[in-house]
Amino acid sequence: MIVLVQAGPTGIEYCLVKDNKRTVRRTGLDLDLLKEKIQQDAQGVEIAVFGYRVENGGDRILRSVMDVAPSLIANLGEEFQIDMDSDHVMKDCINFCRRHFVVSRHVLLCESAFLRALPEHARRFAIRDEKDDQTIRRCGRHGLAHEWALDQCRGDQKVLGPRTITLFLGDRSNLIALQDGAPQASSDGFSEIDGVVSSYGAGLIDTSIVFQLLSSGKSCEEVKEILSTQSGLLALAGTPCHLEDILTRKDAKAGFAREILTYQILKYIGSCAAVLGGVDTILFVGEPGAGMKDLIEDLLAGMSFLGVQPSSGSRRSKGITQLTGKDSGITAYYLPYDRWQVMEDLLERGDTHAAGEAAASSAISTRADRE
Amino acid sequence: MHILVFNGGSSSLSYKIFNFESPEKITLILKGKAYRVGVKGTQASYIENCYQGRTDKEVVPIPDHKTAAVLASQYIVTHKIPVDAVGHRFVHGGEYFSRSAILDDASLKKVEACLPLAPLHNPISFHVIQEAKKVFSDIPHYLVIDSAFHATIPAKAYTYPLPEEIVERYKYRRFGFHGISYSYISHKMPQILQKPAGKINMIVCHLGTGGASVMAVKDGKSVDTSMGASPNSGLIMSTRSGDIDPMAILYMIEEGGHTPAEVENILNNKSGLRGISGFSSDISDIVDNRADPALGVQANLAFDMYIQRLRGYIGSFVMTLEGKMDALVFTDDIGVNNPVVREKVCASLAWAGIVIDKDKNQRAPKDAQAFIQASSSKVAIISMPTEEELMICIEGGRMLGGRYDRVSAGRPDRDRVLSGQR
Repeated sequence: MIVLVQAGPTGIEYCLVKDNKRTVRRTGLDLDLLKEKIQQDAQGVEIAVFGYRVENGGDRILRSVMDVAPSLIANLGEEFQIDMDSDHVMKDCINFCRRHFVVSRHVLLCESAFLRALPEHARRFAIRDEKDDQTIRRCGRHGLAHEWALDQCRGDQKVLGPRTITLFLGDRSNLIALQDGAPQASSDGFSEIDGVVSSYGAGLIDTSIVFQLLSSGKSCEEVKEILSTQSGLLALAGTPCHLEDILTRKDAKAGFAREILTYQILKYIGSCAAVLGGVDTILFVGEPGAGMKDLIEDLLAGMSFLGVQPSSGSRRSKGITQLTGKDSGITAYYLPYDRWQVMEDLLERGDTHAAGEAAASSAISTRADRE
Repeated sequence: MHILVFNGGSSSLSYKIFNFESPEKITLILKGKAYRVGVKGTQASYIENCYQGRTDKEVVPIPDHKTAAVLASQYIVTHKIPVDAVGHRFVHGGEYFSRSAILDDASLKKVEACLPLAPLHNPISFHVIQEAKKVFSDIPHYLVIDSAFHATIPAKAYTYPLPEEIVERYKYRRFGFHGISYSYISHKMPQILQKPAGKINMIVCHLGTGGASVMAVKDGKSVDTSMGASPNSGLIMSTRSGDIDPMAILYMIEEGGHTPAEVENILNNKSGLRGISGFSSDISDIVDNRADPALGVQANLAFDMYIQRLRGYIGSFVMTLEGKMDALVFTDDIGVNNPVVREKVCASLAWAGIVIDKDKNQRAPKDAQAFIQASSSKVAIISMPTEEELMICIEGGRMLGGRYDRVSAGRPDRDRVLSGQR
């Protein structure tokens, strides 16, 4: 039996997996209540593994899947970011569960770790590091989904070409360009705001906008609020919305929001192709929902000049759908995204880094030396 | 018709007088430039004029662009060079100007309203306009605006997904710049490509030693560009960061202890190639030091970042044009003077039909247009110098009908100019 945990600012969600069956529950921030519910659901069966989803591991959590060590989570939730509260909540949750479920293994599933492997010239922004502070770097999001998608396609299936783009489609979409499985570029930035327009986030905008908002009297907090909770698809469509809403609504505003989203994603695909020197494979990862198929078709149509030949879609193993014919210039696949399945699959992959503590210690001493 | 063109840079003022007979027949009469305008340091400011085969250099304090404009006007009046119209480059016209405009009282008010839109550029032009209008008071003055060329960008490309009330209040949108340069390139392309202007698709890279940007042209019109609401967005530039996560700015304020003004100064003047390399803002220096034992690591990082960002934008605009391109053009100082940059950028673009000929690229002249693509390339690759002052002249000639009645026009205020009054 495994328990997968993810946190938000208002509560904790967990998924208990037993005998291929899942039980998903949501609690508030009361950890004693969380413990009680988990024990109730476990019905006396020992929990082998707890897997905790962490957003931003900074420069301590270096792999997507790592055994929990105190040093890895010491500063969790304290990195400068928009949504600190989820990792801050998760840190308390991890410490609590380690105390109360002592015989279980406790494993971190880190969203940002996959993009730690970006080369320096792709991680950096074109500013100097002040006092050797290397905080401002591309951090990446949804790393678990991207890494999982690659895992699903590797091995026997041999579907991956050397130049691959993984494209996560959701309320916050992002792209990663990979050469032989190693990240080379990402649409993501330092925060959750940068990159492709999202449900509430502005995406990539001109720096002068920030300075003008500040000079108009707005505080940093107010500017953060505007750019991360009042912008994006919400601002374009006029009402709070998820990706699925934009894809299914028929009104003009939703249509315009969809046009901008599609255009931005296609441009990022071109940007990734330029970095890689071409594209062999595109992996679309997204929740199977209304409108997703149409969005992917639109994106494939935007790549038709690259020789992309859509097909009716043939099912392969592990739920992967091949979207292009055998003569297509680029091979495209769709992988349905289920966050709990992603976490479970990565845990079972067993890439837990036994030397994670040593690596983490090394990373920490290197950082201490720099300071 | 003699057209005087002013083009203000951050620490210089270029000016030329052309004899405009038609857009195809223009001759240069005078070329002048004021150097180190407002620059403090051990080297002196000076102004240089090339006229009738002579070059006159005057070392003189030039504390600001107003002084530079006065000095330029003095030379012109002293040498009795007739001027029939004055054209001014203006970087950011915001929503006030979507095309070139004659400078009358109404448009001057709009110019003043535009000053905050590009605080590093627009005030310079405004000061030059003020001084030039005092001296050349009875002839037409006109504006040619960098941002105006991109007025054709569609909404999906110019819209920032921000709250409606904020967009309305501040008029945020992608404006784009270097429009005069792009206008010149577009003006020359039909002849170069032997194709009607309205059918040309191309990507143009204006790579200057100050600012740099990329533009996508479809059917002869700008449809997207890398610069946005301000000139500090898009590509990595000499001292400008280009694209950066907006939260990085807030981090620098909240965690780094900087004021917003300090961060803005850092992003505009201490970032880019200078910020990454730590030793130079000049791409040639960066390239030359890539093998240096002491500077090589930072030089290579700066170079790789510069190339990756530029490649990324070209790749994105290939998608904008759906792969239908006639040409990839490199222009301005870095674009024509650095074959290494062109070669590295094009090395990863074969998927878009762009294949460079390394030998032609190396041999491309710096002062003339050249085709540098391989025979297998589906897209022409062109290195060509830009001529912003010439384009301003052409635009003025078109607006003013190409003729001016010099006899009935007033004379410049010679007495004011020669007495040094401002």
